[in-house]
Amino acid sequence: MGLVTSLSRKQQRLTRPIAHYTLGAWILLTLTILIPLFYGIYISLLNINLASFLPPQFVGLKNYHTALIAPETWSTLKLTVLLMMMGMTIQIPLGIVLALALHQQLRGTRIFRSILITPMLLTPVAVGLTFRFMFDTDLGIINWFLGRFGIEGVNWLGAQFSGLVAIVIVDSWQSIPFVMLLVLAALSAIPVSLFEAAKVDGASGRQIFRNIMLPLITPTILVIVMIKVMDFLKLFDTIFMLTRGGPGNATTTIGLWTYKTGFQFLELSRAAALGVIILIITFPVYLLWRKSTKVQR
Amino acid sequence: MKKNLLTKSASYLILVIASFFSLFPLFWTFSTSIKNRVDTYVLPPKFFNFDPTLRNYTSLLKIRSFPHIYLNSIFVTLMSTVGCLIFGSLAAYAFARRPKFRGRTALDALMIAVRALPAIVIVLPIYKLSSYLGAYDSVWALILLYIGFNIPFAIWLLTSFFQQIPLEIEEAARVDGASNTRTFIQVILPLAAPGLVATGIFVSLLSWNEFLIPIIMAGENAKTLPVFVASFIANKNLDWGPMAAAATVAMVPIVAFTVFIQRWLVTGLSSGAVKD
Amino acid sequence: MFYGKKARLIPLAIVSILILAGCSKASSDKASGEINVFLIPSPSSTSIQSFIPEFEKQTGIKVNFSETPYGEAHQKQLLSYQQKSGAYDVAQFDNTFLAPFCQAKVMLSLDKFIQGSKEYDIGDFSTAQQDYGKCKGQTLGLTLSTEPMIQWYRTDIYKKLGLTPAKTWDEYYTNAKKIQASGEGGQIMGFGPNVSWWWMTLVWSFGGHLYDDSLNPTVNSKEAVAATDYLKKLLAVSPKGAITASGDDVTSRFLGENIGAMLNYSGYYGMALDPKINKNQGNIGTAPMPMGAADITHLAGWNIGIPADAKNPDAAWKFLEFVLGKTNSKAYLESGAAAIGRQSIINDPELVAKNPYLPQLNIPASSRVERYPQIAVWPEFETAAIEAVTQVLTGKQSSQAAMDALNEKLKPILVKEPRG
Repeated sequence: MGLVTSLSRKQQRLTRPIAHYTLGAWILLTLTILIPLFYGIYISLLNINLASFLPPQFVGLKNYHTALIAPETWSTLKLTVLLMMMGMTIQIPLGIVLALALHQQLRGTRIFRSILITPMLLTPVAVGLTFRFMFDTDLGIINWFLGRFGIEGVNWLGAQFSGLVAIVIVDSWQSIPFVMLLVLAALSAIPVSLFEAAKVDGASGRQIFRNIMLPLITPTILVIVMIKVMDFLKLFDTIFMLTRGGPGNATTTIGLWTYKTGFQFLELSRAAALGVIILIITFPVYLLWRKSTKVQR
Repeated sequence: MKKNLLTKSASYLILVIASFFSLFPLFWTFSTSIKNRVDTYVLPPKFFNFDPTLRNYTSLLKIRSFPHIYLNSIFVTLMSTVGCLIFGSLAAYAFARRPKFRGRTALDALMIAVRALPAIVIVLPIYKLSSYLGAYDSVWALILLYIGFNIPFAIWLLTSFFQQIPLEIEEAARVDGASNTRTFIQVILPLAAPGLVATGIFVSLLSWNEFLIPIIMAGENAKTLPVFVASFIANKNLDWGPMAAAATVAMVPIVAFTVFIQRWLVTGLSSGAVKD
Repeated sequence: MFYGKKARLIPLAIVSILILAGCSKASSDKASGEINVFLIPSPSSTSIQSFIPEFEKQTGIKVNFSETPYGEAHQKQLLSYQQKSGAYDVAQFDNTFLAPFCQAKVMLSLDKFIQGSKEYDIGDFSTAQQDYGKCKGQTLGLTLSTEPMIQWYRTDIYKKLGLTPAKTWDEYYTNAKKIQASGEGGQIMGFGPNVSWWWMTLVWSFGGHLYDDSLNPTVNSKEAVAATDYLKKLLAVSPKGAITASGDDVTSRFLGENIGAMLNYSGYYGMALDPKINKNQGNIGTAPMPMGAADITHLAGWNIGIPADAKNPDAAWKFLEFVLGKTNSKAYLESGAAAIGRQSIINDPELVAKNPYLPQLNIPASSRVERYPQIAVWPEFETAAIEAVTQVLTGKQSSQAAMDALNEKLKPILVKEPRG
């Protein structure tokens, strides 16, 4: 998050303080993030159930204890990590490949680029709906296509593994453009002189890729990985529309489980506790992020 | 740079295949939306040989609340984008020009934390709070939330844009006796216009597509398009035509938008990310 | 513009706008001529919508409706009722939420409307049906559909193999086995995401209960375990893929493929009337469900009621009377809805000819009516049950072990149920 510029001391003295410019942002963030966050922690110490009209009582860390011994907490967490790994193994290599193709600056690159980034911008809910009927077991076009190769009736949205694959496919359809754009930007930042020098030295395409491009885009890849980790933790709309986390909890990530606990079981306090647990899990990622962005400067 | 034929054709092939996969779902949704029911539930699927109909779209328009929902989406998106740009550019300017100021590290940390935070952690307490304030099902509550959630991203983008503006221009303005405010409004903002536009585009997209917040916080009054689209999943028995029409109606504006402003988007993302 | 002292006005402005806007919601239905109807996507909902134009013409009352998917519908309703905002005047809900709505006191008692309504004619319903929407002696929801679980079978396959619809569970199994041996699918049930529907039915039919009167779980009783074993046995005589079949899948497969029998709610019969789904037109028969140790009828179906905070309860009742009253009852059925168990409908020879399953809606007085468990913690209970049963069906655990584990798991869940 390169937010440091090097201003000379002289410049700093000349200008008047403008820290109060950030006031608006502070207030908004306090209202919409900080206050709910602390309120959420407070709720997690009570026993609020939205369906019951009894006054809530203070139960201390009971909800956390329940969450930690519940198998669902761990199974959904494992599922989230599995999804992350499946997703990234597909999205990052494919994103790099597409970026390389675009980097060639062939004729028509701009058109290709606009086509390829379109999926990234679409409303995930609408995309989920679209793929839902494409993945339909009996009448969906995907199964029709597979059927022509002898693969019959895959139950995409009704079983665990195929459901996860379907989710990964849809998320990749929307995420690969993002990876592609970032890698492309990184590639474009490599000075052309490096490539020319390599050509002069007689390096092959593969050597150029391995020894020049890869090391120089690695920082960007790391950034992408961290963003994707956070995005997968947040992933909701797509799974909601495709499988609703089903069957049962088979494709339920920890975020979806928190939603279910809070809004289907109406157990608001238990959901709040799960939310805090998610926060704690996300914390190391956040720290890593800060550290890496500091290093980049 | 000499490109050999193999790399070139391989690249074209890859790009064409990728483009096909990118466009096919859109094509399929659109074609389903203009089919009659008898043409949707058929195998092998009919790609082009059917009689198109606008029946699905008219049934969508007949839903009385549909225009209201669409307008809600537009209104909320517009207002939250404006809010983000105003407060975001102010804060971004401070970030860009002052390496240290009181509370900077805290704000910095908060913004990254928001980026990493799954919305569900916040939205549940917000629901409970809103019921005390009577702010449930309120368009303004949505706008406020959208601004809050998106402002870190907006600040992140805008800061890089502001950093690109040479300090000399500011110094010149100051030498001429302009106050901070005037410098900001009359000098900096116009120069940062491309950045403002790029950020505005991103923020509008994020607001237009937002789902988790309205599905919890909006009832009938403040309902937005994604919530409406989501209500189309139901029994197997359902007519896919209207489903496809709803999805198309949600996606078409964005597709049109993309074609129109794709230049800005790429500038925005690359400068934001690379200048990290 | 936004700097210095003026900057402090902004948050004030924001907060005041927020509060003002939140308080003054556009309440366009203050006029007595408008109602909002909350619907859940279903054949019943589609039918209700088809009656709206005629109702508006006759009464001049404007009807707005919205559909919310089943998974969110009841939560959304509860949240809305808690706000007491009067967002809805009529609301469709599943019978399983009758008890939670009752406990939260968010539904209007309809008895005063019913008593005075000749058009609705409550006497046209059997007592069992009249009780379907009652909680603590008050009617909180009209019956919107009557859907017992019944036995469906392929008349042509049965004729060919000389079989008759099963009267006991053993017969049901042997029928299916014979059919499977002849090359077709034996029988089908939803062993997938909705397996709780069938599992509950079997537990009850085998003489078990999900919990006792003090809300202690009893899913590991001898009878319940036997029922779970039987469910697993049936999987072996079901077609491939049945293990992931949902409630909807079951019907479309039974109607579209060659499967001997199915156990399912009668409300699915609407699908049988659609030639695109039913490839076996004229060969679908219905019979009462086989009887186990206990004579039970698993009765399901929608309810529809008027929320306590409705802005326009009188107009709401007019609407309900119009759509569900005696005059329009035939038209209602013919518009594709799942049947409502009015005696005049079930026993109408013309309708029975077109909808041969109607007589199954006559619930014998001897049969104990079991409904979807009327507890607020049902969503959590059901999720746990589905997970446990799936363990058994996939062979990962024995019935006894899985049910013992489930019983333990259900204890803290049931403890949370508000009592009294």
